[in-house]
Amino acid sequence: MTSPASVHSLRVAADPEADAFRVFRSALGTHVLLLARSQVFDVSPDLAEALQRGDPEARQLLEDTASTEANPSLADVPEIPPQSISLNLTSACNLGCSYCYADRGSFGGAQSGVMSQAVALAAVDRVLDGCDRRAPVTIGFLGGEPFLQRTLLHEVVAHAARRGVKLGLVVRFSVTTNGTLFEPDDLALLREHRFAVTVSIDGGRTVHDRKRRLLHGPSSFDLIARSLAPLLERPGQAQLSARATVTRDDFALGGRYDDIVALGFRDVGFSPVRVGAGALLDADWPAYLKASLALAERELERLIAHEHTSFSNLAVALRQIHRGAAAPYPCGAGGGYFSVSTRGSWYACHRAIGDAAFELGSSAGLDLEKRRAFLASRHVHAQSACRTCWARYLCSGSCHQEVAARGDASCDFVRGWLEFCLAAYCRASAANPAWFRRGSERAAERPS
Amino acid sequence: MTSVKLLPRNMTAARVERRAVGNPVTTRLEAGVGNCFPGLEFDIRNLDRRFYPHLSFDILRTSLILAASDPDAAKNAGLAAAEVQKYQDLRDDLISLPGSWAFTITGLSGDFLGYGPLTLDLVASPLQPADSATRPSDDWAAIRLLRPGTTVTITLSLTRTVSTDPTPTPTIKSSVPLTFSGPRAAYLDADGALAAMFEAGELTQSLCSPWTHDFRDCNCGYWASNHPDIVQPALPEGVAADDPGWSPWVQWQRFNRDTATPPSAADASGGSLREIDYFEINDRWQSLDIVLDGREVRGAYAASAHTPAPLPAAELERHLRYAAGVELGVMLEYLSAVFSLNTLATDAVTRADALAAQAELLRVAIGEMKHLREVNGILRTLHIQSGSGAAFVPALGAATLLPGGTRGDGSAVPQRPIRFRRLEKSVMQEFVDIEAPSLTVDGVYTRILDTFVASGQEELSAVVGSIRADGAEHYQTFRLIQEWLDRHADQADYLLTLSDPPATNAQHLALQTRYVNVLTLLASGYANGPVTGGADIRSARAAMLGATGVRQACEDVAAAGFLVKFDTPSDPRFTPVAPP
Repeated sequence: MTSPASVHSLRVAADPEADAFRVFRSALGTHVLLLARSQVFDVSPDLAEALQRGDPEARQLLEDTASTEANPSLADVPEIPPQSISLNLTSACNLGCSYCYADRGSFGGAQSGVMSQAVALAAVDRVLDGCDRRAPVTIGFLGGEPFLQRTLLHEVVAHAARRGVKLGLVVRFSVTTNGTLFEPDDLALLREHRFAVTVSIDGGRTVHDRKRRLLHGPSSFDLIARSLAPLLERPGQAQLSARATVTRDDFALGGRYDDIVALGFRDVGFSPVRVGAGALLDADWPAYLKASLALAERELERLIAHEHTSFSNLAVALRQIHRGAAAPYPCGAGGGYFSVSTRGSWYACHRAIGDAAFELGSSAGLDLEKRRAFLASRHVHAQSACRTCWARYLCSGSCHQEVAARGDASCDFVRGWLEFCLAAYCRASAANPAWFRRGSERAAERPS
Repeated sequence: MTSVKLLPRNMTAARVERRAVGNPVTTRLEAGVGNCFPGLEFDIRNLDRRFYPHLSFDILRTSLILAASDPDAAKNAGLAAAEVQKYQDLRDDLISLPGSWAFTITGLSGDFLGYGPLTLDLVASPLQPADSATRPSDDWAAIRLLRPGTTVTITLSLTRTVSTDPTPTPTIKSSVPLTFSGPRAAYLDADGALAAMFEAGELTQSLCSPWTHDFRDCNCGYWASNHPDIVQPALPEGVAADDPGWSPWVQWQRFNRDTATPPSAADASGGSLREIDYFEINDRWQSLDIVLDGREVRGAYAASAHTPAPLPAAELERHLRYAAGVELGVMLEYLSAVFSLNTLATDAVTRADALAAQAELLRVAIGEMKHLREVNGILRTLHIQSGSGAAFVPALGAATLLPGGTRGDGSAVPQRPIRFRRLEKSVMQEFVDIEAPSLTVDGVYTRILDTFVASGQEELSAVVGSIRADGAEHYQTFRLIQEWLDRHADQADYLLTLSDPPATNAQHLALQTRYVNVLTLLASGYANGPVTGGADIRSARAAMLGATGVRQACEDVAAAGFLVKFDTPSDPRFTPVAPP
């Protein structure tokens, strides 16, 4: 697919004028974040003040490590072999959620029908044969509701696992599901393989059923609760997480979080809708930030008290800050990750099925020039709104597919959230360092 | 900026820490050996100088003299305006005070460790060792014994420090005697790091310095960190860094700093050159050279210039397979020598030296087996990365020739075939050459490491790095063995009398069978990798060291009066490998 010679040959230069560090405060004192490697240092108040003032001596002190040149790989455009794919098994869904980005799987008519076994296996083989064998491979399932294509899903897992063993690869799986359709052999499949299972669930019964309606029949919440209980109780190798979608009419995150945790989830994250029905408007972002921070502050206190938190938006951010994550892309879209439509077209992102700008090839091969142009244009250094933003390597420019919806208000939300997380990291790492050691071991296990 | 602190918090920040060239390994506080008195890494008196918040004192045994007052820090700490003013007045007074006058502590009260609460009048009844049953024995001891965090009250008075000085009592802003009452300052913060009030360099400011009279007494026994005993001499212009004439280690404190001819090398007793004496060092300390990477540097420092020479992909495997062959080959040579030592010699010292040499040599031989495994692990990793569908073939052929090289003095170490010999003195020297840094075996890995570094293979670089580090340790061990054995003028004292085994000798044949058995197990274990192949590796280990293993067979051969030798196995998997 890609020749080795093309790896890292394309670069998008950083803005030489952009700030290289950010001074911030926490309950512990003053700190500085060096952007190029997301390094966090505690600094004396004098130094913090001098840095903010632009004191040349203070800046000189940071120069060696603070410049963007300190991490040249930030300019790289990763034209690497595909390492993970998601298969859109079907364009159908048994739910009719009002805010669905996929329009129940049909993507406004751009995708129809179900994926054939030949299309699925060709895509899987393409990834397994061409990937970097030192790193794990992830095969994901999306839709529509992927468990409507249960037989194919089982066949693909069996095939990929078998072929992975033959090639000496570590193969992992992921599925995003509404959780209403599990049958006993589905549970067995999820338990037996390393499956990241993301369940779309918005809160307790009332909140959940308001937006996530079954096309025919009663409460989908009751169905999920019944269907998921055995898996939550005995997950086997599966790692379950709940994803709650937030629309502009309801920011009561705390109650929703508690209701989902009560079901037995140990990993609960929130995603605000940015495009389409229920999307947050500019005026909504401050209120959403306030709601997020209220929950985050509550959960931070739990972490500091050495208790478990399930709030994954916070937990992931804290672990990434601890690891010093710094990246020029928010995800692997078009780089190591592709999403395959029911008809076998390879898109950079599962949210953009049917969008010609994101269509980069098929299992027969990628359009390398188009992919290169896509990646170069999506690099954070190429985003005029991001080039000089202090949060550029932590946020990395946010979701490509939602980029049209990005504006000052939603960027202020990201910066506000990260500002909180940086300070929270300082407190939490001082009070509960063991949690981060566990976190880094976990991260080492799951580099994807 | 009055205080600059930059402490790493997250993982990427922690990775930035690096040691500057020339700084001793004990530069960081936590690296200190914890000597509590002046010397080594830091001077603990510099903690006590700041025992009272926002003031610092020069601590003499019989007086405590105010050195500085920090009204800004007092204000930032939230003290009342009147209290801050006292600090401000003191600072102003310190600036204008004539040299023969000082503020000294004349009264001190607090909770003293071992004594409890005391109020001390340091003028009316000075502290003295004779009263140590009831009061601290001197002023510094009193400060050191104040319990952290407890309330301390000090009285400062204006004192004439030189009684014969006629300077009249100066006019000052402070109204003396002046009393302060507050907590004994904390020297460490909540994380156990030094409190922010300490400045960079403050704890080492009173350590031995080249311009002090007794600096020349600092040596390996004391204060070694910033005082090398021996160094490589500064290079005259145009002389290459590896010029053997300028490579010997010489006395750093030598009187003659001339570079016209190389100074003579220091010997075990420290060297014979005249050194700078006590008085001269007060005057000539600046002629002592700065030492970086062990060499005196008189010009701008340039990091040692190793030009990386990565191998082409096609050659990397050949080099690695040869490296494995060298590890196996030297291991066999060492084993042969191990079982040539007379550990039953009648003389106790000889016996002890032979036993120690045998144990250490065997340990090094086992180390080479570990290297063989590591190199095979690297080869297997590369094989998997290559995506080749073929089975991995381990490297288990001994080298046809061991590598040669050039010693520091320019003399050559030639390539040579593997030879099985007793541990004669000349053989021991060959072993030392084999393990010497940058010479033979170490040289085999140089380009391999360059290749992994260039391609960003951090894990493989680390494996090669650890093999090389072991080699350096083996070299030191061999130098020690050489020293032990060289104490015995006649090598016959510590060597067994052995002859070459006849081809049909039963013990010799048993050894060959067991050796091939080990190789066969390793071939299977290495081919299957660390997880699946683990059982075979464990079996191979048992077949080397167990009761029916290679080691026992070697002992049996030696007990029968024969030299331990290993025949080349006929199995093609173990065919000897030529240098690339």
